[in-house]
Amino acid sequence: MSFDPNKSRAYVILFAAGVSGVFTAAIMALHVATEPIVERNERLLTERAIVELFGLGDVGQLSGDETEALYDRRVRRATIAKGTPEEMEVLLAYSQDLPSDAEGDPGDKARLKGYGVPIRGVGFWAVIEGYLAVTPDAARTLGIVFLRHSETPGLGGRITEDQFRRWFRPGGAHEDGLNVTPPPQGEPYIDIGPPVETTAPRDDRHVDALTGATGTSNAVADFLNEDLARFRRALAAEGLLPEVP
Amino acid sequence: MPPQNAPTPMQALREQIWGENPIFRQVLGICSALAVTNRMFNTLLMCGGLMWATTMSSLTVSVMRNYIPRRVRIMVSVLIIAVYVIVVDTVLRAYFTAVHKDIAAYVGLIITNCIVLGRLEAFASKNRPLASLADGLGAGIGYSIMLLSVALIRELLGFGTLFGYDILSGPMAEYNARWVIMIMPPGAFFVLAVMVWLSRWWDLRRENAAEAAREAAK
Repeated sequence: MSFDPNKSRAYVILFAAGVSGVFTAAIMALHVATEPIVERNERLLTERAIVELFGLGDVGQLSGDETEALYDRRVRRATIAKGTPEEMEVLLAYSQDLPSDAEGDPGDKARLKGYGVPIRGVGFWAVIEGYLAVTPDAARTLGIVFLRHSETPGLGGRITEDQFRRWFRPGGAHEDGLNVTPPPQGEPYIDIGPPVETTAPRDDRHVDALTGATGTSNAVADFLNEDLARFRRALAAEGLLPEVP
Repeated sequence: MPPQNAPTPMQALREQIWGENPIFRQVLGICSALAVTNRMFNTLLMCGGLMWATTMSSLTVSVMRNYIPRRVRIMVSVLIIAVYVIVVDTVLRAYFTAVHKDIAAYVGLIITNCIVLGRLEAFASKNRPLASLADGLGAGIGYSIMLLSVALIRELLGFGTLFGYDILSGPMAEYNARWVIMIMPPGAFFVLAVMVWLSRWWDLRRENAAEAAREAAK
């Protein structure tokens, strides 16, 4: 006599509950087993991106442990303009190794390689996060990195590709990086738009927008300009820059 | 019991790769075909994930087919698909973290891909495990062949690259027109439609030739 799984209502309920329990347990076990690896890899991915952003080492040649060690020796987080409305946490990248117990000093311009300004805003689909690296005098960009985004791969997702990021790097599209000194009244720090073939003075603030991803390009331009303005106000509040008019 | 005329594993595999190809015969899984095919690399990862999900879920459903009550079969099928997709997602997150960040949204969408559920309902729930495994694998391969072909055309014409490597540069630069529409979803509509047309034309041509041969033999 063959077994008919459709006859008993109790069997249907037990089967559904049993199958759900077994498969859920299997997924939970896999999640628990891989959680430490996932956490370490995500941290490493961020550290690798920041080491590469400031040009602290050749990430292609460094192992995971070497990258972590280099990050620990050269990068610090610091809060500037503490206790003021302009308070903000930035990354400080140094050109020399720091003692392991040394805290970051945003005013140590002799050893400072650059600031990592946190950038964050809503892209075409969801939140985009990353860092914009700027020189210690906050006049030029050193690079940009996007750590989190949900833009369409191949369209807005190309913000993570070298073709877009090179605009922000010295020796890339602009010899000295982008100019991020205060712009004339009413104009943006960084202009992301259609390609321009001109040698007008504002050229060193220009970045070519991504073809087919106007929404993402505009969103990035908006939050970059807002975050840069906020960063300069924070530096001014910390006494590291003259007051912004 | 499997149906009287149950196909062999090899027949099931062949049928899904060409005869009943999920993309150009059944026109299933078109959403992902439009979304991910502007880059070969993203497409390859998506295809790998789908191949794993169709193969393993077909095998699992087939093994369990005599014990799954009819009333909860869709729920069980979706649960099984979800489990295998979560496995892909977790493995990518753990060992290919950078890649995972790029394609996580699409990996999740494999759960809702009609090809996977379609093969479970149409084949795996009625046939033996080995044939079901071959059927699932064939559907994955058939899907992948079409998607990779679409991606090859779109990436080459849209970006001038293949797998991110510049192809239309240097002496080839004059041929690099960079069709923006190829990067965008409508580009996939055009390429896919042309490919469906070509593959059906090819099939029709073969059928006509076979028919003519039969007539001549009479």
